[in-house]
Amino acid sequence: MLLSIGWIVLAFELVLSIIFGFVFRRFWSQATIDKRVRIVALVAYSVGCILILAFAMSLPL
Amino acid sequence: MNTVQDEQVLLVVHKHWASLVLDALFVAFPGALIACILLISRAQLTEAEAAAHAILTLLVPISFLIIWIMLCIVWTMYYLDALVVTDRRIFYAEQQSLVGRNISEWNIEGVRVGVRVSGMFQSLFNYGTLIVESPGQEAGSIPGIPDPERVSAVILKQDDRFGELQDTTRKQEELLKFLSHEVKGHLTKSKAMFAGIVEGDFGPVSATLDTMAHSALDDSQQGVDTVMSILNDSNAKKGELALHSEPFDLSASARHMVEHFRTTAAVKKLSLVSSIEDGCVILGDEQKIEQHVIRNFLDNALRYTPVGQIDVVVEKIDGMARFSVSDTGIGIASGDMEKLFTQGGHGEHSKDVNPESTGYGLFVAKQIVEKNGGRIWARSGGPGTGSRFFAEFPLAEV
Repeated sequence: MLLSIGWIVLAFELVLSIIFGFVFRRFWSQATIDKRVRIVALVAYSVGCILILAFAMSLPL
Repeated sequence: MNTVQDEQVLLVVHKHWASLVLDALFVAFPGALIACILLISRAQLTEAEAAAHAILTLLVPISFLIIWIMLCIVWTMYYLDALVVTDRRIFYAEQQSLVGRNISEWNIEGVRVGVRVSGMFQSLFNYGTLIVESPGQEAGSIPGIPDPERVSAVILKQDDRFGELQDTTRKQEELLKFLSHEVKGHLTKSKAMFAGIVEGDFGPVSATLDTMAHSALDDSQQGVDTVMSILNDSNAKKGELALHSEPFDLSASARHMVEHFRTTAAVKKLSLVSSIEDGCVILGDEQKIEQHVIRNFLDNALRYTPVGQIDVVVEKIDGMARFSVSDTGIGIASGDMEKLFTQGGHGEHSKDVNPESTGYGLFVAKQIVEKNGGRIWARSGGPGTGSRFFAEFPLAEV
């Protein structure tokens, strides 16, 4: 039961990360942000999200 | 933000990195505090309260994720905030949220700038708030500006330059009016003299002198008209001439100018041949096109052609009316072609043939043609091979 809730929360975090990933990608593409800076920002955002998700998976329920 | 033509950007300033750090701390600190409380609460739970323990455990990474997303939004707002100083205006683009932004604008003329550096952090990293106030405009503050004294000095210096520039423009305008008035005076006197010859005030004259006097009278009249046109239509502040566009027959104008130059061509023993297609009606300023384009092309052809023939052609090509003048004159070197339509652009040997040339005729012709929606160009096989000048305008829809 707790494990199921854990998986649901993890899926929610994943969806939230992806949705904001698309939002940022779209906004940064339209704004006057240099292409190189935009790519670095997207990579940094993705790495941050992956670390947080890895941290979430490592926590014992 | 849109700058107008010729407006020069002097300075683009992004916020100091320290302001990003402060904003990030402002966002991250409450989130980190909540995560700590969750972790402490979780540690204090007993084995029996397993469900509550699990929920608190799950809330910690969610809070981290939300903090991370908010930090990305804070960075976006920091990166897109910018102060832009041009030679005429000051813009401040402020990102208010991820999708909302506000752009404030102040005129540089009469601007007042204040600097506020408050707190140890701002003094240590040399950044602060600029307070900008322009006559008739609401004052605004621009926070997080690095080296605010320098930015303030640049703005105030530009304000001084703007004042000097306005003063210079006013003097130029006065000088232009004075010169135009003087030239007009001399032209009017010449016109009266030639009118006297034409009307027989000085007794009978030979047929040749009569023809030349008629031509000179026409020239003087055109000169007076041009000066009056400059005086009435010019916008000296912008350096532009006003245009009065209406449909007119380019063929008729070309015929008129060919007849006007026929005597001069005959005196120089040049053959002036025209092939003018009827009904080339275009939309444009007839007087300016006739005076500064058709007349200029023909005048140049006559000046720079010692012997041979001048051909004037007006034809319809693909919805355009093309006017061209070709000659058997001195031709144009390939190196001179680039500067032909520029201000003061002389050919290498053009001054030898025409010492009075100012080099502005073709430049003005280009401005007039382009302002009337056309294009202008020239072709030549090189020195001694003659040249051909073209001006093309869209045909008016009749």
